[in-house]
Amino acid sequence: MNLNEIQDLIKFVSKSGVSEVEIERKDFKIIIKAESKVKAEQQIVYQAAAPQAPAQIAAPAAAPAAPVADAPAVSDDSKYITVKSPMIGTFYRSTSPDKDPFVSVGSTIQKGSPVCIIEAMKLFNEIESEVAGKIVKVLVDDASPVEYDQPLFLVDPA
Amino acid sequence: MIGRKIIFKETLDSTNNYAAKLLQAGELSHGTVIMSGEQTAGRGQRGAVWAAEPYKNLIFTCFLEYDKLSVANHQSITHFVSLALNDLLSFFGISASIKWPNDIVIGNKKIAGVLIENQLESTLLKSSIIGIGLNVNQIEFGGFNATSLKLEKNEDFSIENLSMKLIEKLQVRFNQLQFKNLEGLKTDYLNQLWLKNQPSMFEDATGIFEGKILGTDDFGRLIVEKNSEEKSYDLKEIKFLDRNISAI
Repeated sequence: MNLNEIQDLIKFVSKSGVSEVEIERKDFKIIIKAESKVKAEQQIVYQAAAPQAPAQIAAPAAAPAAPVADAPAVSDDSKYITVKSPMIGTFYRSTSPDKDPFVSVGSTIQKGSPVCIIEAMKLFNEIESEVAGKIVKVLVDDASPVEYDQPLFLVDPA
Repeated sequence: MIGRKIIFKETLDSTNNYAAKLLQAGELSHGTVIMSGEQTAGRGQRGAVWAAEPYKNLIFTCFLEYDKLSVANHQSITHFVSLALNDLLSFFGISASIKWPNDIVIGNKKIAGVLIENQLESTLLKSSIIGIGLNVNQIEFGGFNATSLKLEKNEDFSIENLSMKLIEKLQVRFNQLQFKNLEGLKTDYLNQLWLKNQPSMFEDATGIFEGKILGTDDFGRLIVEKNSEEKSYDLKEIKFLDRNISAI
């Protein structure tokens, strides 16, 4: 990149309202920053977003509603929290077939940790855990179709 | 503002992967655009390879955060992105259609593909990494049934100009989403849906049939009229066939 090109780039940045341009080629890297007038305003707008919404986590999978008559003990699954699918789609345990799964049985997760991907009509939705804890059970096989609200994981809350 | 920050890298494995890495490191802000001249591992749907020659196409990813967008409305993301691409092409005098769910086609030839990765927080969509591959100056596609701006208009295009125009078109449709005009987005999307209301050949689990696309349901599934009945199909449940009954 020669001086003229760099000058053009600076002109472009100052005219277009872009606040930062970063160009990296094999032998050099250039970053041009402009003080943006709208910056503060934009940040406020987007910080106002992302409110805490009611959890998608269902009430504990209360011991299977109709316990089988001869079940000797109440299933202790009741202390676990179920992570459910927020949509119809296909359940994937990793970002791509050659990658490790996000979580497995025994994995410790934090609130906000990605636990799986639900693909819905070519939209890949990364699902985050609502709670911290340990994965007790993976309830769906990789690459299987899932329904809305279908339980995906059991989590032992920390 | 989309394009508030622009990152251009000569070579990347994939612009979406790079965005995901920045996001994980907490270094990605709303509106950031990432472009690259060459992708060594461009991704289509879960590993499908997108065959692009270096420096001949627009390889573009942008990161957007949403304002209280419910997961139930996630199809609106597909709508606004595919409409922005059609708006871009129509600016250059090219009339394209949206092949459900989000390929951009001219006739039955693909000109652009989209890979959208959403980050959810409970019942809200927090953000998306939106990857777009637009065929620009490439004219050979091997066995792929594809076309490009150059093949359509018989001239070379500046990828820089295209990227700025795409940012502008994305911003317009994104505003429509932020103002919650989701019905308007869906109406426009359905109006541009490829093969809508035209008798066409399909294949589902029970075999080959002639049917007609009527629209999409609230989950984004394709509604097809089959033997005078309306059926909703998930992505893997239906194939589009051409007149020779080969998949398209």
